[in-house]
Amino acid sequence: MDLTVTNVSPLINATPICPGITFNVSPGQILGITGPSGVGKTSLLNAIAGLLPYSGNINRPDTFQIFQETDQLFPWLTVRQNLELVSLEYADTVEKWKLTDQLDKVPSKISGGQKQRFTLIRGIISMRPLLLCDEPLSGVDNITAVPILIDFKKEIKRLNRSVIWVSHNLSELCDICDSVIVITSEKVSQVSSPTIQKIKHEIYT
Amino acid sequence: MKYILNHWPLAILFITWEIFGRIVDNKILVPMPIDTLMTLGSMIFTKQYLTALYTSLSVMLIGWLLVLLIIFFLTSITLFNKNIRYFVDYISSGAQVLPTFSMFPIFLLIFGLTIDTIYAMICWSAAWIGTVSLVSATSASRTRWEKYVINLRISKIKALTLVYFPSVMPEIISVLKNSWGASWRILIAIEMVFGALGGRFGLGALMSEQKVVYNTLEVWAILITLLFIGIIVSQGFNYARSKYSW
Repeated sequence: MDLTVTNVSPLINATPICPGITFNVSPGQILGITGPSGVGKTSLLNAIAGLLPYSGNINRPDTFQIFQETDQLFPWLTVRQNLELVSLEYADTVEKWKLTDQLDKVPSKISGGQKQRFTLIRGIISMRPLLLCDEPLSGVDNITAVPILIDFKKEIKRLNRSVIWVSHNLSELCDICDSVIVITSEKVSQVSSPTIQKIKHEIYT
Repeated sequence: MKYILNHWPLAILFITWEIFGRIVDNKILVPMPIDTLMTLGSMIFTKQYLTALYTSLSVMLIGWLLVLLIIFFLTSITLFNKNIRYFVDYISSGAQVLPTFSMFPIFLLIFGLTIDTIYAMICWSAAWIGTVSLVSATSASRTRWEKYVINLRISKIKALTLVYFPSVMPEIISVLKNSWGASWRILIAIEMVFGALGGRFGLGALMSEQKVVYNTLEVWAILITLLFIGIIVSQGFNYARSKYSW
């Protein structure tokens, strides 16, 4: 099912905090959202998740999952137990991401990048049609993030999920997204086949 | 060897004691550590000492189990309802600041000079503070992990057994340790002040009796016993705590 957002603006104290935003995300598509700090990116994500009031209309799948930068694995469980809490269908994805040998370790015994990968795998295997990601890789350096993004994108396409990916990192957005919504205080625009130059152009002009 | 090295503070304590003993130079007031340890060595095999040790430990164990029962019961009922949580937190916070000995006359009126008075005192000394700590820990755990449980759609049983309960294990061990400490302190104090209560003659009572007849070596030997028991139990809890550090 598509996620359809029509003229939506999150409301804080009953006041719209950004111009009305319209977009559509089909299964297998990854849509990025970016813009300066405080412009309402996270609020928009929360509105889509139903955690904030909004004006306009949102038509979304019944089930979805939110990722946040502060998300973590339960530290007292092994990685395998963490994944099994959500689904038993994890072996394929873990194998594709070449992480099988890390499954029986506790999170404190694996690297930050591996933790982030397993957090994303936990979301992927949850079988939700829509994933709402709020800067999930903000704590990971670029060199570590690139292979994670490549693996994540492949898996999302394979499983036909819809993803909204909020980030400040333009290179990350260009690596993973099919199109990017750029929100500034004055306007909202959508960039297809995004490049850093195109996004910068929308932000600064 | 490593185990012995970990106990270097004990060595410092014994050296300080030896120096202090030599300065005071009064064996009735401050006996020397070697003499005290030798006295302890000979006491260990006396029926009087072993009975007192057994009495204190058995009363302590029953009292402590009652404390844990109260703590876990009160904490469990707070999980079901916000008003119950507020009530238990309110009462526990108020009750824990009342000195345990201020309740002694009341327990004495209710239970008389029986072992039940000791159990009541042990419960009063440790149950409230333990409940306050555990209620606060479970509440913090819920606040921290609930969004994950909802977001990941983890079933209630799994959430309870695999998320909420393990997340408070470090606090549970701290509560076990602290409640044990509080119970042990109040038990020895009651035994020392009131002697044999309810026909039970524990280490505190033995210590008190030895003091009356100026058997200072025996008094210090019992003190060493209490110190060793404290260290051993504390080490056990520290080991358990280390298994739950993440």
